Amino acid sequence: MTQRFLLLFLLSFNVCAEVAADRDCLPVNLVTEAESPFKKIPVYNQGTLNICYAYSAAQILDWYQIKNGAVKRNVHPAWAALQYALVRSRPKLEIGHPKEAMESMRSALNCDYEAVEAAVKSLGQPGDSEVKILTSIERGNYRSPAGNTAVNTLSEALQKHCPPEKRTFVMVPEVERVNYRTLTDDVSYEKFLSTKLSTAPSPVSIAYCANVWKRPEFDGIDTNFQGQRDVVLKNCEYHESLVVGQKKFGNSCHFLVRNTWGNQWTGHNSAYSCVCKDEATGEFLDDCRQETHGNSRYSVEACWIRGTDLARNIGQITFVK
Amino acid sequence: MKLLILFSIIFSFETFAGCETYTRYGEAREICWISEYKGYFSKQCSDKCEARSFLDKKMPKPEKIDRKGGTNPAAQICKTFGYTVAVLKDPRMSEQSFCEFPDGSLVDTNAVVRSLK
Repeated sequence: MTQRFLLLFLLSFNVCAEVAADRDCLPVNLVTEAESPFKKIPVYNQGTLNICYAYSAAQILDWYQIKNGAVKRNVHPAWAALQYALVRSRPKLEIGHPKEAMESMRSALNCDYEAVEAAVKSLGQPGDSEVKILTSIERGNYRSPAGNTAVNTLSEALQKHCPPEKRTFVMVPEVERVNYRTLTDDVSYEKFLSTKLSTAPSPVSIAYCANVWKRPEFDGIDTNFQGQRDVVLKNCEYHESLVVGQKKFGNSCHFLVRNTWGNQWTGHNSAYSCVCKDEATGEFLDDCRQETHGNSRYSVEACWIRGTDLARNIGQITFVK
Repeated sequence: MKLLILFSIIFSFETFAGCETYTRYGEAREICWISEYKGYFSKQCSDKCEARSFLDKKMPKPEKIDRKGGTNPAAQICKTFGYTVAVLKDPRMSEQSFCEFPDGSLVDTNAVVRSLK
């Protein structure tokens, strides 16, 4: 009798555990879903710029605006980075947090995408690459002829190309970030991410070691002497990307990552299955591998990566509440 | 004569079939796919250009690449070789990074990576 009860208990526990695990990795694909805002948000390419946090912030804000009726993307990553720098009185744009970048947009309003491009371009010499101009600004090296700092110079150029009366309101949702303070180990990061996508499917920004794309076994986050998982190893190429989906491959949960390395991203993702888009028809192709997308027909929209590999390298997770 | 016209149509199709107008901060650039290199080039490279010559050299992969944070590794390789990185938008507004050479020719940075030994 006791044995039968124990068996029943174990069986029901197992079933419950399986149901919970399944709920943790419910299939979500924010890229290919009907009416996806990502169909209106380009796959960005940050080139040699180091403002990945601002690319994440701009995409989440645009996703949110389009979901709420906006007809096109309109937040320029450089604008988000600039507001972040201005609010925090930073002399440069590089390295930051998407949460604070989004929050800084609350008071700043938005500048039209094209106006930001015009302002950036106005700061260079004829023939200068926009990446060169922005790189010089983001690293704080840029000096205007009058000796102003990079951030102030860009801010002044934007006053000219985008005066206050031309600025528009941006809905900034409540944003939250979790890190080692609430998540204790790799498993809890994976579980949190998965539950978040299952329960409220929306893009989630992760700060992670991008080395994992080249070396899936890479483990870039360590614990400190108090056992807190908050040490980012020196060789970790810390990066920010969006997680925009999940599904199971075999028994393991995989996350769909929308990177900001362009729509012909290759090499680092050669071992991975991606979601590609047929450039001619706009149709999506899942499980698209390098032999398929290394041509002019398909663009890479996002790539799948095993949850356990990714979670080992995540330091922070930022999401809309 | 008809044969000549047909030949010229086929020839131009092969050379320019994959050409599209990209924009770079408002300026238009014709970018073409060249299957021989599995890469996108500026239109001037349908003949000769520095970008093509560079890929033909099949350079060894640089030993040390300055990987700063989340910068695009392919763009960073272009920079390591001392060339300018430019980001252009395709007609669907998605972005590609290009290596820009002194003669103004462009090649997408992923093609540069693929060409390395």
